[in-house]
Amino acid sequence: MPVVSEIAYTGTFCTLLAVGTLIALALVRRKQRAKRFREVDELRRLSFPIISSLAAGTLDYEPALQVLSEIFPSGPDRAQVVERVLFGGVNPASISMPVLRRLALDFGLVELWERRLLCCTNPVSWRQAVSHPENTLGRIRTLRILPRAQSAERLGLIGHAPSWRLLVRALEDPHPEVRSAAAFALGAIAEPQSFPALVDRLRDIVLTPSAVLSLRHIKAALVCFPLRQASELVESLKHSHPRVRYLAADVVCEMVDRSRREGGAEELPLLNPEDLAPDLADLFLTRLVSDDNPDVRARTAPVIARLDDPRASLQLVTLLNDVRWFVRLHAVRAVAQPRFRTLAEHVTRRLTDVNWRVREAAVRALLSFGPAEVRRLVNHYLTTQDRYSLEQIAEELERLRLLPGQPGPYAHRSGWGKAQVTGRLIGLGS
Amino acid sequence: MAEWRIIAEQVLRVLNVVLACYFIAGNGTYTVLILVSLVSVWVHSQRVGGEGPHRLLELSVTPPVTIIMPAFNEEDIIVQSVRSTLKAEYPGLEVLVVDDGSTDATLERLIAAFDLVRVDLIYRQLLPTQPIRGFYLGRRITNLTVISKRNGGKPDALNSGLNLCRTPYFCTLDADCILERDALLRLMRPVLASPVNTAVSSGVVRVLNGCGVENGQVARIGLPRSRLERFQVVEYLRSFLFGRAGWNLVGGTLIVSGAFALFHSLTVVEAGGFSTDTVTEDTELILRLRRWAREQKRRLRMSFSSDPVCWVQCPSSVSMLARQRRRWQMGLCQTLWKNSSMHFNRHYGVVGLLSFPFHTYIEALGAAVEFAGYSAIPLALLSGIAVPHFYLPILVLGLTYSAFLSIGSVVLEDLTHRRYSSLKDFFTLLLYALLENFGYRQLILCFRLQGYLKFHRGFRQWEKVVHDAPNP
Repeated sequence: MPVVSEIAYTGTFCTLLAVGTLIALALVRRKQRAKRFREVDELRRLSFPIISSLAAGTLDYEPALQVLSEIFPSGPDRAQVVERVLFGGVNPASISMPVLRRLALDFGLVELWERRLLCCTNPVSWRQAVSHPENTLGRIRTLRILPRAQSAERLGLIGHAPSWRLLVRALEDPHPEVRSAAAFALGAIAEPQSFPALVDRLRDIVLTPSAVLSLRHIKAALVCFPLRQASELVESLKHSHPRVRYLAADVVCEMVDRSRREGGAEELPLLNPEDLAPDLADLFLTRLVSDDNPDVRARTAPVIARLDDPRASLQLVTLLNDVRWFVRLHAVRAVAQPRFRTLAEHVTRRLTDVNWRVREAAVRALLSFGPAEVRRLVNHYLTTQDRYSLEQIAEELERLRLLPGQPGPYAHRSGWGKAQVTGRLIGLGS
Repeated sequence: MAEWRIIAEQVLRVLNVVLACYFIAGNGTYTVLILVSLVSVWVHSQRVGGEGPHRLLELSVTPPVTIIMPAFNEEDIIVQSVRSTLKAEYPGLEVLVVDDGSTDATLERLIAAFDLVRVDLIYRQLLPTQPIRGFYLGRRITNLTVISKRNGGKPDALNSGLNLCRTPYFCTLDADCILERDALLRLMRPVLASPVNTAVSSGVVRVLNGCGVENGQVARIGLPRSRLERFQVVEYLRSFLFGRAGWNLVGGTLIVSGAFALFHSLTVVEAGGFSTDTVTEDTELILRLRRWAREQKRRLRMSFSSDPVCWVQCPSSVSMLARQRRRWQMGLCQTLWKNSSMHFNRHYGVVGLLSFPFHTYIEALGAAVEFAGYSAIPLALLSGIAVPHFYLPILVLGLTYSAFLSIGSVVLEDLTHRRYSSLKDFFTLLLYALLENFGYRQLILCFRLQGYLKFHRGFRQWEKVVHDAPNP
């Protein structure tokens, strides 16, 4: 038993030693950080007025570069120092992007980032690394994920298009952080040639169970590309795997939605053939609208609603009457714009849909059509015997904060008495 | 008499062996966890520190989120909490406050502060709850909804919120919490990055006491004045930065703080929502989700990140601390008991083989073992039995090691996120990490034992912890 005591005392001593080491580590790190921050702050103080003048156009680039070269100490780690000053801790977006891009190129940052990414584009397995000592160093380097992830991210931030090939290769990086940073960077750069590579990854996610890329990240990257790029999704839209078709349709749908948001218009503008290739539009109108996979059908509605094609309305009516509730839901939401007030009758039928989400969307769609359709809605409200439909309309009016002052105008527009509208609401307990 | 003495000495020897096993198993696991956490938290902090979560604001793939905030008799802090929550940066954010039958002016204060109007909404009971008294919508703030219902406890309130939730994800947030502005975005980051459906994403809860609050946000981070609260700061650091981060890395997350966690709505509804038969509905839900995923053959991911932060007021009096810790201990025991089929069950992987047994033997039953250890010395001395000579060295090692773990978490915080930036605060925390083992730990042990006894007696009651209002 004295052995136990001895072990316990040795353990106590080691623990105290570890405590001391930890505290010393924290203090040393504090000191190092303080010193580094002081240096970076000083460099920022000296360089930022020049960079601001460059951005404002009050200073020519070449003389400014000369001054900045004198500010940043020359040496093997100059690029890292410049990187820390321009990208570390401050919001780089606050600096003019073209200026930032030129500086990154001239101070060798782009080269540095590409070098970091390059070191892990063809990683060997740990087994190979152990069996071939010359590979060991390279494999150990793959553990340094932070510099790689930051490099990918920063290449995207400055929009350095020539790096796209390297970023595509980085999608195979051993670490998910680097892969996701590369995907975002590719989206930010939006180099047309990189689009098919991302589409391939999207397919891989479905077809290869071991795929480790995040679907959302790849989707987010694809959506960043201009809509005209969507024609390269045709093959995926015709793919035999229903989920590949769905994801491709979903990406097109998001791209269409993004183009709308960027336009900022209240009324959704129609897509012209320059935006969406005619063969792609055709595919949506003929094949995808009747796809076996209801998810695909659902995703076609927002795209079809933006097409300048006489077949669009007819196909939307088909989708409004689809057997699956979420297809009807997407269709009702897609037609909720004044352009489709001719479909009001079909939308009114959806007020008695079996699914409450569809009923809710139908009420909103009718309210968005204009005064005549609001009247149609009130008429339906006053005449229907469907209690679910009644409740839904009342709830939607309440949610949209229309109820307290609205029975009057509704009654006036519909030709029914205000008392009747109010009476029905009271009947519902509102 | 001699026989009695021999028996007592034998018992003491057995106790020694039990204590040694407990010590090796508990501290061995903690050591692995702290090493694992040191790397993972450091890498994560470096990664997110440079990046910032704001690009998620512009992504079309960022799903909308509803914050569900249950409130029971929170009239002093509810308005400030809701204001702070509404300021959270997130695209498509909905805030749903559930007044769980408060007997004070919680609802009235909300109506007055946010100009709420009573409306009739359709309430679809996907999960059974107590009856609803009314719904209120903000006239000017369109993303705020308040539900008033009959009292049914926190899980019932959460279920009511879930019944009305329309977003794919929801975040539970206690009414005494202050959410950091970008915390939700940070919480969503691992969800978007995962190739697998992430059912739960949780973050760090830090102690608000001692911090300055301005416009519903933490404006100045500092340590509280009272010793009791300072000990809790160290405890929270230890629990969140290395306990949960470590378990998360090995895929053994078992405990998630319901004060601040993000859940996948449909998954939670399909798994049956929050259970009302335990007093720690958050942990119970995590275990049930794991069982449900196995039964349904679904792949689910549960993630923990050390950068999303929510500040919570910790108990400032011994009586309130006692209530809180009794509840935690009782809830843990209830939950582990309820899900005992997972115990050493290889089908649950790391959770079944490591995490569940660890929480059972070290976290839940550890209180009893530790109590026995402390009791042995005075009992032996009083009865004249010789204490084995290796007993004291082991006790000293145990206490030193425990201090090392607490100091390790303070250092880990300093090396990574460093919210307590002044050197004075750092040394104060180190001091409290050291002192924690002399008095405070034993006090908590008493409360844990009380919780344990309550569990044995079959208590189900939730002891309400009353918090002070945050510092201006």
